[in-house]
Amino acid sequence: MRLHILTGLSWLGAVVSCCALGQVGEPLFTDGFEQTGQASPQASASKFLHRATFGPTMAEIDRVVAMGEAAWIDEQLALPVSWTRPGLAPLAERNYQECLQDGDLDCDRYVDPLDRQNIWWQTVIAAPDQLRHRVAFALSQLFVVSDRNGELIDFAEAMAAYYDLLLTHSFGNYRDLLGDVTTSPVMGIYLTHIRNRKAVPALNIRPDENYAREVMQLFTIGLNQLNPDGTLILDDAGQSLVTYTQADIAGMARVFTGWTFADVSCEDFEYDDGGDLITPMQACEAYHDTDAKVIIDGATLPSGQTAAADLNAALDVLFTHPNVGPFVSRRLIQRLVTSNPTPAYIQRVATVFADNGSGVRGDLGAVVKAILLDPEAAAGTSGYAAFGKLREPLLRLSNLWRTFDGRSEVGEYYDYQPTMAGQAVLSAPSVFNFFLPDYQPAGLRGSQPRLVAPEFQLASDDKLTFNQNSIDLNARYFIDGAPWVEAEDEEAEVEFGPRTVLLHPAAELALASNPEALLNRLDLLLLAGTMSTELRQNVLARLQQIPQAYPYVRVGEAIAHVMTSPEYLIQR
Amino acid sequence: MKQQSVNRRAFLRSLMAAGVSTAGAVGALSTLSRAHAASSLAVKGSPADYKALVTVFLYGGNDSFNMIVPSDSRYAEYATARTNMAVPQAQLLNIPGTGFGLHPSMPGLQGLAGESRVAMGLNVGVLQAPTNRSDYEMGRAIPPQLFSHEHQQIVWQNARPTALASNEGWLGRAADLMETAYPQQSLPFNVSLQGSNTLQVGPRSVGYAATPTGPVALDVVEENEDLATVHDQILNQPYSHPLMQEHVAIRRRALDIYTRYASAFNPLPVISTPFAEGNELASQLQGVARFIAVSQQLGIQRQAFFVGIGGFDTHSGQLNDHPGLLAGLDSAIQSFYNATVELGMANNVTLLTLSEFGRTLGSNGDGTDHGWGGHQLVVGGAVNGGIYGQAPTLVIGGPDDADEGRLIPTLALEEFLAPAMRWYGVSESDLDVVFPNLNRFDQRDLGYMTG
Repeated sequence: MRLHILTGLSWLGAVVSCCALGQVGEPLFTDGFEQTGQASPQASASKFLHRATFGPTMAEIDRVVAMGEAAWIDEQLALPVSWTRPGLAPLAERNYQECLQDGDLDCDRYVDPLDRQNIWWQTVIAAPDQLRHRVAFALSQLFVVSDRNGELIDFAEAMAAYYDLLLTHSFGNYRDLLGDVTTSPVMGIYLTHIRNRKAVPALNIRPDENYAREVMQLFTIGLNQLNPDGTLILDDAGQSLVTYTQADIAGMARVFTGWTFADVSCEDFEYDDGGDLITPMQACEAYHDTDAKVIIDGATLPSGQTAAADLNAALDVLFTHPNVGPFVSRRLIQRLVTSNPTPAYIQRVATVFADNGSGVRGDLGAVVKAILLDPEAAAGTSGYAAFGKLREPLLRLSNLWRTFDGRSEVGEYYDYQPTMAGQAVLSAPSVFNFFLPDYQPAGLRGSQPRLVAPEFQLASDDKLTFNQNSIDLNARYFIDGAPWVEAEDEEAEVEFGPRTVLLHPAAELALASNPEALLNRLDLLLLAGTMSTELRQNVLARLQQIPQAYPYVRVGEAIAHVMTSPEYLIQR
Repeated sequence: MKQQSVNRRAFLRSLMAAGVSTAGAVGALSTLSRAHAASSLAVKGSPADYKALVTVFLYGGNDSFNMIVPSDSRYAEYATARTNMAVPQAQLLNIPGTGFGLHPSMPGLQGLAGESRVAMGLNVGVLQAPTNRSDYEMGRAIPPQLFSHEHQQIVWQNARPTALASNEGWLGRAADLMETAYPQQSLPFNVSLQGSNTLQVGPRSVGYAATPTGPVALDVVEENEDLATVHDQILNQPYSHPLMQEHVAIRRRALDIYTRYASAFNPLPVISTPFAEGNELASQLQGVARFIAVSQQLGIQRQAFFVGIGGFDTHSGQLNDHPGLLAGLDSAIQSFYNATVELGMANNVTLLTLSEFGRTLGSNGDGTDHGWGGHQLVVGGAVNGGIYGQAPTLVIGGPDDADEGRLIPTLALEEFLAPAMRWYGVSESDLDVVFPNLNRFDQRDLGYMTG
């Protein structure tokens, strides 16, 4: 199938030149979703689903309305897991067969980062366990590994296994997650503690400090001592207090010695020939430093312990540190709900982290539930004006594809350009993720010096513009059934093939003749009922310029204008 | 073909061909007309009036002790300290008259050094004041969060060791001063080919981010006038939410600057000098060369560029990975220098490297860990080649060692940067604004710039 775009576009040219500006006669909106006091139950459900899923659908909104947010979360916590790694095997076979068909003699069953991302897209668009995946995606930005690392780029299956590890623990216990991440060979490669060995003083060789540093700085306690509400503990001089010293790092580095690939003999510990990147690392005691170690806050690990005993004892010390609750809570709130949670919000969540009500510390399911059901999340901007966050590029596209049934004929999702977008799952530029939790765009310095907005680190002129273009193009032109998609022409520059992701906005197309109703629907689905009078007026005026005979243009433009608007981009 | 992502530019070209754009419109797109206005600006000045500073950030902490290595009698202590990380003496690419050699994967820089186009700043790092080993042991004026990537990347860019804020950098402060000195230049003084950064944010100004092929067009505005109108109307709505205001501000600025650059990048400026394929830094520097190529026609007189690559955090596999990183750096710098020669701008462009720290002299088995001081490069036609600063003693436990072979810098970041910024056009008194701590150190002018 080879489809032509020019026919459709010339046709479209006729559409846009048909109408003079400003011929708007119909009355503006007669909807039930205006910001008049209390949000409707559907609007509240939509707001909730923007945080808890990869994009609301009308059916899911109705379910949340019917069952309530808490029961919906409980249902999600109990759903079976939709794994990503199994989906790669058929793709490996397909790649192999395609290679053979190309006449190559040297073919194997490989998968690459785009295959892995394709599976991730398929899953987050369609899988019922949305909340688990949304949390795993958040955790993937906390426990960062990345296939932009040269030693991981060719191992897409191992990267998928790592993502599945995050899925395993998305609602589990933070300590278990920390343990499995620490012994993951993918993390071992990424933060280089795999094949880390005890010191050889005669050769000036000491243990690798990389994981020792980052497991504290990024995964558990952070750099500065925190109050239970996440604010800094200050000394009498008003200075913050560090959580650890370089000496603590040196002690911790000795903990993470003696681990290698599960399938490599310990006799070959020193040979770097790679190995099993999926099975947890194994301990080789001969390379483990068994002397006593002082780690943080004077905690001492006795001499003579095995590698596993030392590792577990050190992770226990980190896990029970008072910083972990507020540290992790703030980061997860930032990923799901708002960039600038109040200290009270952080403390309420951190309290659940410390004790889920049954005496268990680190229960992530309870933490996620506390984050989503917190009164601050419910109040939104009526609590404070700066509430909310810039939507991540991936979550904007997932919203488009999920809410408007974006899919290709063959079910694949390769229509995504991670390099220009600046974001792809498990593909951050460094262990510091796509953006830092305290990033502040320059414009906020004067007017809002206390606000941070991490996602703005990806809103550089080039990436912001690219991501605006991406949503705009996908929303306006990639619609199943649109004349320019259906038209056939051998000369076409752009193909809409069986692998092209197209929107299937059936309900919206049914409303194309009624722009007010169409906008009401988009207001609910995309803006959770917060569409401003001005946006409604601007988009409505534009839709009314487009003749009723062109429903695909109306629907595409309506979605595009809303999803590139500032009020959509700042999720509240 | 497995992947069928749509070629967006081709798609939009087809839109244009289909007459969807401005055909027949009475008033052409406001953006396009502004672009034409920009292109018709009178060319101001000759190449002599243009200077560009190009900063290359090597993320992760470059092991520069293996990039610039003592090749004379001091090699022995280097080899003792570095053990299995040491570069063999026989492989070093000597730089005559300096007592140092370059890593064997850097033949391009060796050639440029032979033409006296490469200055090497030795053991540069973040300091609050001149610091020696006893100061370090007593904890006197030690910058906070040494050895942490995230924080030292910020400090290298903001040059204020005790202020870990990421929202102001020394090129940003310089840009604000340049606005006064060059009031006729309307395009930004700071351009990034590597996204957001701290370095180019000023108290007032903000840098502009582009790609190697230039500014990114906003399609909805290019496509047709009606869509551009809706876009403008939505941006012009009143916004009270601070994050919405910020998003709108970025979009307005991005569109405005794009508009003024657009015609100069259509068609893409031609740089004949080859740049290596698949070398991210080379691609970014090729983009910088394109911006430099169009600077004259746009009336630009001063410009600072930010580029950068990661991968330098060589805790593991250093002997495998680091040579390739240095080879990529070498190739990219060599091509870039050649491109400035091609443009007749070699004396108008100076490139320098930045990296958040050096690395430990000692090995962790197959890599090195976060250090403190490290060597940096300055390359360009206006550079007075040679060694600058004091060669550190490469001995673990020696006089320059803070701890475990993390060297206490013997040259402050500010001392290293001041000559380049003076050359760029920052006045002597303004240097103290750009680098608030410069006056704490001895060297205001290391002398590596000829102009």
